[in-house]
Amino acid sequence: MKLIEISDLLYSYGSKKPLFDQLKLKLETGNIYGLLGKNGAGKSTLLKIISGLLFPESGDVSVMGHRPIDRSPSFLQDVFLLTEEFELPSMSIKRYVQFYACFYPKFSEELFQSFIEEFKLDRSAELNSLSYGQKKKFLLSFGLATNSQLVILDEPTNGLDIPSKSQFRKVVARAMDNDRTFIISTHQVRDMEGLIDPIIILDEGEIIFNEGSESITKKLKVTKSASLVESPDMVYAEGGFGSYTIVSINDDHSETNMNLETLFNTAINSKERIHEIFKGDE
Amino acid sequence: MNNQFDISRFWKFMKLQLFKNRKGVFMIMAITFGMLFFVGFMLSVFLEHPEAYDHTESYVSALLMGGFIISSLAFSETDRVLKRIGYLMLPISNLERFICMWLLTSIGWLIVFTISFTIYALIANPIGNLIFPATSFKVFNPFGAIARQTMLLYVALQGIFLLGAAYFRKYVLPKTMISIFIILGIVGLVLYFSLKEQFLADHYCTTEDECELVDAFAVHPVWYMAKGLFWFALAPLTWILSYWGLKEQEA
Repeated sequence: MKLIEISDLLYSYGSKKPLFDQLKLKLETGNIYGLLGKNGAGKSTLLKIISGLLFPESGDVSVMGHRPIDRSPSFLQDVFLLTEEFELPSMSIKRYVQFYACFYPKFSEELFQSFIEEFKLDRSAELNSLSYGQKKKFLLSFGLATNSQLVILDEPTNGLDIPSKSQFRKVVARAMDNDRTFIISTHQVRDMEGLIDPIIILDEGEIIFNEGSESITKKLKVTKSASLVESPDMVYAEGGFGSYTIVSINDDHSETNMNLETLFNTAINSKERIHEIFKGDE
Repeated sequence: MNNQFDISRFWKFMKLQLFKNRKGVFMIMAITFGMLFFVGFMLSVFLEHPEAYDHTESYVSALLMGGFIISSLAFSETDRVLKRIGYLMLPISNLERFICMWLLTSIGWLIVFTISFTIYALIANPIGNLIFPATSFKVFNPFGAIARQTMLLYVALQGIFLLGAAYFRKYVLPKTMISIFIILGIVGLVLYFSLKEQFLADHYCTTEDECELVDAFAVHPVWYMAKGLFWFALAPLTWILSYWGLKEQEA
């Protein structure tokens, strides 16, 4: 089922060159999408457009059958956005839940309790006395407990310490079900390894890649080699620590695991080849 | 589900707003009544030694000033991007957002302030009698003609500050005041230059008490129209524009 459909999106900041021009994107329910891109690629802007916080100049944006720009309560009840930076009201966790949970009809108190226990947060704590990472963990717990259909997380692991990053992965995996969709935008691709699938790569306002891991493994393979030998099948190669990581067309149906960093670099540096290889899937 | 207005959702939002703004409202009330008591009441009686002291003038100025300040803060959550995101993502309609803040800053303020002022006057009068026995202190009547007229004036003007709150970010009150002066200046100039020929040619002041110019202007259709617009159109217009301003907010 299509959850998000964006067509011919045009968006620019002021009179600058459009950030998005004729952008198209279709996302389905039941996935944890990873949205990757360089700084300034437009990831946060795209997420804000999907959430109804920014209004496109033209084009159609449909999220769960709603027009996000209407910001209707029935739409907002089913979308939870956790931005990279945020500001919380001055009240305790207990009060926040008391005053805000009632706006989300599917909010689960038990789920919230289990998440804050996982993150070791105290319900009586004042929000403003929490560290940035703790605030983020609280908001994540609250957002997941709303049971909203679409959860948008912008750089969710920024500011989290190492144990919290694995707690984050555990909590997100636990909160995931077939009716839910996550969009996680991140620079910290290593934190998301094994969690996000499919991968969307945004570059210069354009979706240059939108594929699931199965399709990636089927079409691309990754090998290590001490020397670099150019071949027509080679899509991308990068050197490091005395060896080369070579990404090539998977014509022998071998099963290799490509990490997100290599995939990202391949998509960014060999846009045309990647487009050719995956165009049949569009 | 009604996406425009739902009474239960509206009530939850109002409770949230009251809880979040409780400290700010308390501060404004404390400052207002502190100033009224020590400056508007004690100091003025001490300096002027009036035969009778009437609270009505203080009521008028404090109701208007306090209300305009509170109205300017109505949408303060949209001042900063990060706060705005939380505010706009809350599952509540723009109409509910607007009606809630309109109710709290217009009717809500009128009721709360008038009750508080009546209680304040009841407490202040015996204290005044004790300290200044030569002055008689009039009982404040919240239903008196001036009080009622002030309430109507507040409802008519308050929307301007709500409009400022919906469109301006940070320093809303001074920005709104400057805008009012600029608009009034422009309207005044336009009226002066478009009507001066007609008035200055046909009318003149004979004595100070009998000024044909003023009398003539008071029966001129432009004056009637201006009065009608002020009392009946200004408030609804500013409310509608404030609602649109809120609806068009982006983060």
